[in-house]
Amino acid sequence: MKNGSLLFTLLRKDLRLFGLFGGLIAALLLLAQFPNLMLQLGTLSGLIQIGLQLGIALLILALCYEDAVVSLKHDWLTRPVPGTTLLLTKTLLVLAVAILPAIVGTSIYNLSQGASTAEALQSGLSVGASGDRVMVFATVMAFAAITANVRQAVIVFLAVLAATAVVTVSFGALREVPESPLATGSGWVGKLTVELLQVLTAACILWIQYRYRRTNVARAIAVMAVIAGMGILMLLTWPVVFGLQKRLSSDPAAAASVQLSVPEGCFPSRVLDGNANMAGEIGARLTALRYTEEHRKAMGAGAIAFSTRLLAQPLPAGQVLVVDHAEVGYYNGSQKLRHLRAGLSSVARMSPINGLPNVDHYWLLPAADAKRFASTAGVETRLDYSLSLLAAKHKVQFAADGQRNHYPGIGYCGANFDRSTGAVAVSCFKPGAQPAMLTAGLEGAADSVISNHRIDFTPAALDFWGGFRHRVQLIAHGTEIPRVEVTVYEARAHFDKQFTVPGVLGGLPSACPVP
Amino acid sequence: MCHIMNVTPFRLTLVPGKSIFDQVVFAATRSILSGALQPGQGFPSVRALAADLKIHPNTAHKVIQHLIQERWLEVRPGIGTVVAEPPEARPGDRQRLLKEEVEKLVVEARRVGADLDEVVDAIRAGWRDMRGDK
Amino acid sequence: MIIETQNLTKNFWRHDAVQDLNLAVPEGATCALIGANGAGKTTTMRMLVNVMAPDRGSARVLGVDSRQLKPADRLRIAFLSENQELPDRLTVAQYFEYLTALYPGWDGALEQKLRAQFELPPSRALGKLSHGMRMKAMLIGALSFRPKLLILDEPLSGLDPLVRDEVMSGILSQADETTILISSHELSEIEGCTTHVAFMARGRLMFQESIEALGARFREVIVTLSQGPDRRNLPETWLNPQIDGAILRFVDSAYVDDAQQRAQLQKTCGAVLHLESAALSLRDISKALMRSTRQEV
Repeated sequence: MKNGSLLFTLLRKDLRLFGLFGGLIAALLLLAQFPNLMLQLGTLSGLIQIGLQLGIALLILALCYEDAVVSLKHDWLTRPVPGTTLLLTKTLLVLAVAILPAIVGTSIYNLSQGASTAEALQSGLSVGASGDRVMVFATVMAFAAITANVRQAVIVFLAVLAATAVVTVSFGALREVPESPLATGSGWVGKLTVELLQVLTAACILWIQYRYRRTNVARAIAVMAVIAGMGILMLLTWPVVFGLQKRLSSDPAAAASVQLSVPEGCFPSRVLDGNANMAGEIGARLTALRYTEEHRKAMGAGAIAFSTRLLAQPLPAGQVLVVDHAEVGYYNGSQKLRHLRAGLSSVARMSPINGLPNVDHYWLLPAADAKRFASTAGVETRLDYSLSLLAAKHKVQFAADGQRNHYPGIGYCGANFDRSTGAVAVSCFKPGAQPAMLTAGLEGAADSVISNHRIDFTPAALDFWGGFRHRVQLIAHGTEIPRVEVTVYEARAHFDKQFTVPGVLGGLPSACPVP
Repeated sequence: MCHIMNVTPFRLTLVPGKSIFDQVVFAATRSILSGALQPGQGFPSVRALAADLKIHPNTAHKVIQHLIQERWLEVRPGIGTVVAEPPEARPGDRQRLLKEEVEKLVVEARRVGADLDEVVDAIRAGWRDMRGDK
Repeated sequence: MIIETQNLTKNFWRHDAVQDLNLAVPEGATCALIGANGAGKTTTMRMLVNVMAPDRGSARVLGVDSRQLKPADRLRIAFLSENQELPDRLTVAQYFEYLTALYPGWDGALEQKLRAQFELPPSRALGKLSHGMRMKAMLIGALSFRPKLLILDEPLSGLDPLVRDEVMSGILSQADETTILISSHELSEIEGCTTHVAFMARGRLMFQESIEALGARFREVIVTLSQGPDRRNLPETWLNPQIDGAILRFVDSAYVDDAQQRAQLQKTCGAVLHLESAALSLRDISKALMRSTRQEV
């Protein structure tokens, strides 16, 4: 029997069984790619999104369980159906129902927004067939290949969730949870590793199950992969991740020309209470809002809140400094007493104030530690900064008249101007490798420049799948159509810088007492 | 025009201890002798016989072959297997019945403890039944 | 040998399902696999078609190791089990359309004949069929590609007598062109077409032989002795002995002929006053065996 007609036979059977359910999901998925439609539906759109996620997961599970691999009773097991052809059938159907409609919907929507065919298709692919979605669907299929039915799947899923929660909570209780490297520009190290692990594991499991039906082996692989994934994430601490990032600097020497300093004087500080409305300079900045609730709870009542500032000498035109990670450590000689993690995120762009790029970070020091350090001689504060120097690579100016064009190195850009609100919506779709940072501003108005808050140092060679649509919202005054300037940056150098200050809060306890 | 019957005109309750082949042959010959199956009537095919009596087609095949060999049945081209005219008794048959078969009957009767009168009554009853079927 | 196993073994977590099975089924046979529930029949059949992998030992089916069965081999093997999961939302017609496309050797005429004979409604979903109709549909799905080997796991269970008849007819219509391994509790139904019998108890194959040989060595015996016999003296081949005063009942599993049996009785139990010995149907042989193996705890 030719494999082609066998594939067709299996597809036809599954289409007969799942055509209705699959068609419904596909239609909803297509419609969900139109934000204007979703907006009109209001709260219903949220339900639809959730419904779609659940629906797709259920459909994939049902599709795979229809001809289950973990089974003693399914018809196909004793029929002349090769496992690999069966796998291909299921994969094609998942593609048709869960990926193709998203690609088509996004493409059509983009076309309706004035995108060229090239941009629409690439954008459609990057959304519909994004690495995340492909990975999730592969994982669900692999999961279905090692469980027997929906009930078992739900039980295992809930059990894994519960176990993860228990591990996370107990782990967090044992020591303070450090800031995750995943949220920084170097997050790609952890993300890509885990994604690769996930995809390889899913592919491995699917192959082993559909080709050989060795369920125990496949399940063992699944468990080992989960443990390995967790282990990798635990092992990828900031020094490890940034160590790798530094080695990938394209122009390490450029770091040498950067001059950084920490201002003299005590760190602004106060005892943190719940009052977020204190007036005054210190009060306005050092509020509870600078920290998450968990952080405040972990540091305890009466913790000392203080801020540090990093200054840089003016950089050459087109260069920007970004802080990837900041940490405060208290040392007595060579012995490390404790370290502090920054409030909220330590990732920040150093934006110029009076021409000098600077950035502030906010810290919480438990009251008991503050007292102890203040009364111990020889205690020093070490400020650890991990920074990246970015340089503008491509720049383009265009009118916010809705027209979209392709600009090499930047992607497909266009902007819309709403006269009534003054809002300028800039949208740039970059296929493939992403820039380290993208900023947009009104031409000629340097202080209108903002970034889209996406810092990404993924090496171009590893960043080939999909694309990203960068969106920036600007405000323009006047009624004339403004001109927009978009700049993309590449990372030139990654480096660490440390500052050591005596005492606990920027100076010896006599000069800078603990409040 | 002869019509091939799909229904087997005799019942068969399998009794343990005797081979199925023997039991079916006996039931078939009994049917023919008692007149339930008339000469010229169609006899069920191998598959029909097997299906009706719930026996293996191979056994049914052996039965029909045996009956054809013993001239109980004959094959008519274009029509199939039909009941033949009752075969003439072969020279040794009568002798075989009255001597050997009777001896077997007597031995068996003694073994199970039946006495002469019971046996004779049974023979008479059986004879009457056969005549009645005719 | 169409089926040949060598020390086939399967152990579940707390339960040894099949132990050192050496089953052999010759070509053209209709082999009845009998045994109590839980004896290991279903597990054995599942291993033969590689639905389950053995823990030790091996099985060869149609000359191929069961663990190496390829889709091409499955063109010649049919498996039917009461609990099969079918694509329940397909209609009868759609299911057969699907099967037809899977087997190049599918006999459409046979399929149509059987469907008409069994009166299956073509546009009813498989899941909505009664148990009997479902079994009939599965049977057509097993017979229509004229397999060389037909493995049937309790095909008659739960069926009303009329449907049982229909299913047996269907099976019998192919019995001379295929080898059949059938497990069933409806022994009176299958006795007529059985050529070989294999008996399993507690995961082990107790014996396998032709049905003629089996029938020849089993006799149910009721004997009146001059005195009550001693239970301890009775040979093991006398199954389930019951003593009531001087009357002994048992099932002789090693009967040769009347003379030998009488001699054995006299030697073991003394003078024989009255002896009755009768052949047993497959069902009764099976009951006697199950009763005797149940006692061997």
